[in-house]
Amino acid sequence: MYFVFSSFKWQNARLKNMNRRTSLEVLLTSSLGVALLPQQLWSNNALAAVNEDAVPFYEAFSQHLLGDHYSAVAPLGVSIGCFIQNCLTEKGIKDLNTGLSQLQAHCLTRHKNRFEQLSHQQQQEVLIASFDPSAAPFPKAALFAQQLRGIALFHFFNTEYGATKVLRYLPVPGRYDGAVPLTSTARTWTH
Amino acid sequence: MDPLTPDFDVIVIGSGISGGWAAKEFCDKGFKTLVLERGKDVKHVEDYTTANTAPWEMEYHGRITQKEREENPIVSKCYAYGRTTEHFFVKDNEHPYQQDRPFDWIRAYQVGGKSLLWARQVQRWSHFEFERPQRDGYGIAWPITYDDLAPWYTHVEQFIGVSGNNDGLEEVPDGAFLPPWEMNAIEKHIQKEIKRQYPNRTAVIGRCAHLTAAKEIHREQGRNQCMARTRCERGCPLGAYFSSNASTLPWAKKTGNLQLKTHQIVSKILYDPKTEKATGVEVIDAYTKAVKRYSARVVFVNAATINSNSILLNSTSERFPNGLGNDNGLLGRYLSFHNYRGQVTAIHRGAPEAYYYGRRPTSVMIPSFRNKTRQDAAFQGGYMMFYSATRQGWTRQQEGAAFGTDYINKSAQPGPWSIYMMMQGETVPQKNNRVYLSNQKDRYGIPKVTLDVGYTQNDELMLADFLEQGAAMLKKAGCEQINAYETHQAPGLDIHEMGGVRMGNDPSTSLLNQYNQMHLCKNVYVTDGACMPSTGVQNPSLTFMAITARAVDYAAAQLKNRSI
Repeated sequence: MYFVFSSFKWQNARLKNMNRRTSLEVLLTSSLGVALLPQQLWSNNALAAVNEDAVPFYEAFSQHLLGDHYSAVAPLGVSIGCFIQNCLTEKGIKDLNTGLSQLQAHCLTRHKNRFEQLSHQQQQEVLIASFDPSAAPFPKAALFAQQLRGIALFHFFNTEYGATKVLRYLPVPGRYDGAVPLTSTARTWTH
Repeated sequence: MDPLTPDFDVIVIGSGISGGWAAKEFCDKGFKTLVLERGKDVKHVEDYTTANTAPWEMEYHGRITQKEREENPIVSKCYAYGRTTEHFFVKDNEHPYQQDRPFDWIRAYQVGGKSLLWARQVQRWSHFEFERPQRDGYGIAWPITYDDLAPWYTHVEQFIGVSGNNDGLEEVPDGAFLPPWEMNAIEKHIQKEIKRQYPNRTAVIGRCAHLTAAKEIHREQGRNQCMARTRCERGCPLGAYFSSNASTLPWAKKTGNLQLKTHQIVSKILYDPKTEKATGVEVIDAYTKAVKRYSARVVFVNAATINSNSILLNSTSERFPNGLGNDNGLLGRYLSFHNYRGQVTAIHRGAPEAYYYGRRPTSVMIPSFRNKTRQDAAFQGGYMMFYSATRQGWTRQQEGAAFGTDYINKSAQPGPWSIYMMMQGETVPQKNNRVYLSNQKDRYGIPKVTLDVGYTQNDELMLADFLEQGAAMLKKAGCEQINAYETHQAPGLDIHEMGGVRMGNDPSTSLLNQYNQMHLCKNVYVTDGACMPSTGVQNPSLTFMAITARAVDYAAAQLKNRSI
């Protein structure tokens, strides 16, 4: 409850400093927001804070990263962008933006389109190359890909779905047992 | 304020771990006790507002923003500081202090103080801790021995509840323990290898102030068994770990002898040269800034080490122009702390079939093995090690695909065993490590605290030894990818600051006697970390509590026979 209240308060402050189009988007999403999950509400609220050019890439990146799990948490692009904008150091933001620019430049040179406009197969190829230091399509591509993956995973595993359905969320274990067999279906504890 | 009819029998300055104990003990003995807390009230359970908050319910999933980090460069370094706990910490700009040398002063101004936030590791000090400073020539003699304190350790352990094993080790004496936590497969393996390869080194399960089995005395406090949540720093709704809020303060309140006043900043202790005793304290209301005085027959100073020093330094009078009881000029000096600069990480590929359930609020400890019966290392003092083993989670690097459904599913599975080891080293008390008052004043007109504290060459030698030995021990235990490194952290971040108002037998080299009574002002006692002549190797909080209970027992007898 506190979360929803604070989100709206924060949003009102944001409205004062945004253009008309973005204001309308935020107002629209906030009017629908009451029916949304907190995570989605937060994502929509954060729209004005992010580099809007980057959001479609973050979204496409998340889709590839999460595979079948993506639909359970989508959209993630805005919240990832908002996290980068607010929680990273200036250098961290700069490094990610540089990496993103280089990746888009590579896509434009190689495929004549931005990453998010490429086919699913082409996107896969770019990402596979980016994660492979021996096939780096641009300088420090693997570092960029790993950093962004870390941020996206942080988001995913801290969503209610990621924490409870993919990991094992255990707010009240009740006891500690130091000797439990590891089964093939075991999942990492989170809290 | 009439000195003939004091407002209270006792004033306790501060409601943290030692202040809470002073209040409980005095109230139990029938003394009207006033506890003055400079911060806000924190009611047990009711004010633990984030105790059950899930990560998806928090902005940025609980991550502190860069702006908040930049606004709080000191407190945000603390391992326990985060979205779910920030309301229990003093922000950097709320109460600025000065640093001649970097000192990360972590504070918690509220009822319960840092007892809400502490790491809860409690080992008795051994006779080595009390004897070694004088034996090896790096400190004054402690005026008390382990035997003096042993019954008070038992007294405190039984009330707060301490989980642990009676290991029969001279360097960490046994106690009145609740059932111990369990080691996991790899921790047991490392323990076994250490025992096999190092005859004078032992790894045992940590001892912590958690109720692994609540006894009647704990149920009387309204506390329950630990549920292995490790959301402790948010405040435990079960009261499963010891804090003033869950334990000593409500207990004291039940006696009807306690008055607790919040937002009351003690600026000084008032001294009467005719009686050569304190008459009470002067306080400033944190909101109205109104100045008030409270009188009592005895004053216990438990404001936490640095603030206890600060209050005494500011308690000037014609008789004591340099601070209360400070004829020898040593008040504020010999401020010490623990050296936490060494860490070692590694992985272990053993026990692939083993896992664990729940979260354990302690780790494995390796008591000090250096300079035990004589100085045998290149440095003075000792250090202990802590280690734990956990299965790696989704942050680990993986072979194969770098993204996609299978990658996520694999990330969600427990990874190889990851080992974390850290040091806790004794620092040698130095005269030039000190707290003193600035010419600048804070918003209440009280001189600002200045800290001039640093490491010495002894700390460097100890650190190097830990890094070498820690890495070697893990290697011998079969670990791989061993990384021994220095944290470069400043003093203070250990949150184990001690000294400045040290105990001792000789009034020319100490401020307090063997009962924590000021040599030169007999009705003022200091029983928090400020009283410590040396830091020892072990965690200090249990010793603060035991020393406090012992001092109260003595002061109560003095009050009854009108000696003070």
